[in-house]
Amino acid sequence: MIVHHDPELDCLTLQLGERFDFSIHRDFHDACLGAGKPARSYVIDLGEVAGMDSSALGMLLLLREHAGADRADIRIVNASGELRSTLRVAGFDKLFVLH
Amino acid sequence: MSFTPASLFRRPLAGWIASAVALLLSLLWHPAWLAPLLVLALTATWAFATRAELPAAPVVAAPASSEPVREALEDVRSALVDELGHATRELHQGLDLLRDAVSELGGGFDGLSNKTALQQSLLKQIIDVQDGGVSVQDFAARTGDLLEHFVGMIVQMSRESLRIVYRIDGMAKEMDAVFGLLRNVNTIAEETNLLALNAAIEAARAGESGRGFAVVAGEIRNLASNSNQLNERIGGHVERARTAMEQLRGLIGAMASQDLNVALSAKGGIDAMTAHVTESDARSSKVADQVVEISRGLGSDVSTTVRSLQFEDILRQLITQTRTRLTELQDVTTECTRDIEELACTALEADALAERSQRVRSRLAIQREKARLRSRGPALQNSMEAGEIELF
Repeated sequence: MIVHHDPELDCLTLQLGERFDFSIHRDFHDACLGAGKPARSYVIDLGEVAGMDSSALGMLLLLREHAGADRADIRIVNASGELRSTLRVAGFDKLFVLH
Repeated sequence: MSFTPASLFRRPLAGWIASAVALLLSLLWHPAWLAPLLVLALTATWAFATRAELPAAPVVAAPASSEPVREALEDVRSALVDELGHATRELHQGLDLLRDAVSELGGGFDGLSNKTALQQSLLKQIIDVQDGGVSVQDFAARTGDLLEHFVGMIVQMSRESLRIVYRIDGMAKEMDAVFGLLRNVNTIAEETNLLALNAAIEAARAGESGRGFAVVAGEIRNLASNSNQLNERIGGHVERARTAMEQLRGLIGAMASQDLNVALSAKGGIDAMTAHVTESDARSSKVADQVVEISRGLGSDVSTTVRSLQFEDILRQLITQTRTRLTELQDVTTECTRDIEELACTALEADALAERSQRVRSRLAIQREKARLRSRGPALQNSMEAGEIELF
């Protein structure tokens, strides 16, 4: 997982690896759920993700809570068709901006 | 045409009278133009008298060979009358057959029309049931909602599990801190032990006066050793707690990591099912419409056919009329052949002859007039289209 923070826009970009599941929960926590002020906006890049389980969705929900719930600005980009339908079945298209 | 001397004496009455008048005139009166005029008048009178009598001549001469003619005419009459009788009977038979066939056809078509109506009402029932009941589409939609609810629950559970895992991670950090502190305590105990050892050495060097100090130093060494043992035991407990927490983390992590593919493929299946049901609903409703249309057309065809069965009436009228004609023809044939027979075979006076032939002619004329009146009559219907029957 590659984390990039743009200090000018205060935008945190997370580029996920092949697997987005429980195995990366610690990295995910360290990158964006740790103590400290949340960033203004987040970009979750799922371009390389091949497999995703429910813990990935749980992590995204925790991130949303952390970033201010309804005030959160989180964009999910480059998701494949299959991932997109998973997110839609879970109702994430109403909680996040899906690109 | 033979012109024999005998014929001159038979009935040339007008001729003889004309000749006598001409003779008297020529004797009494002598103008020059009279002779040619008389000759012309005489010639005309003779010519008229002899021509009027000629037709009667052969009949009068005939009687000698009358028997074969009578037989032949008798044969002709009986053959004609028999044949006409056969035709009448056959027509009667045909009429019966026609009546039976038409009544059976009518019954068959009535049955067909009833069944068509029944079919139509059954079809309507099916369509009504389809419209009113719970459709497969509703079922699929509800299942889809349930599935989304289920997926939502799994995701919530994952979120809470992750929250717990992160808490456990925080606790593990605290445990690590305790470990670090315990290591410090251990160092202190080691140092205390060393200090006690040094104190014991110093006490031995002091001799008798240091004996009490040596006892204190020994106690301090014991305390340090006890403290070490306690530290090790605390360390063991903390280590076990950490292992237990690690196991808990694994368990909760497994709970958080649910495979969503099952739910996804189920969702895909439901979507496909909904699409299929929608399509098949549309198709079956189209087919039902077509069937209703066909059944309506069938009803109209049957009614047209039943209307067409009216041809029986027309045909019966025609056949009855033909039968009447044939019967009359039988009578006419019988009477006329009898008259002709008499005309042919009996020696008759010219007046009687004329009267008989006139009778035959007038009989035929009457028959012709009858036929003419009948064909003009109001009873006959010429076309099937004329009558409309509304069946339904």
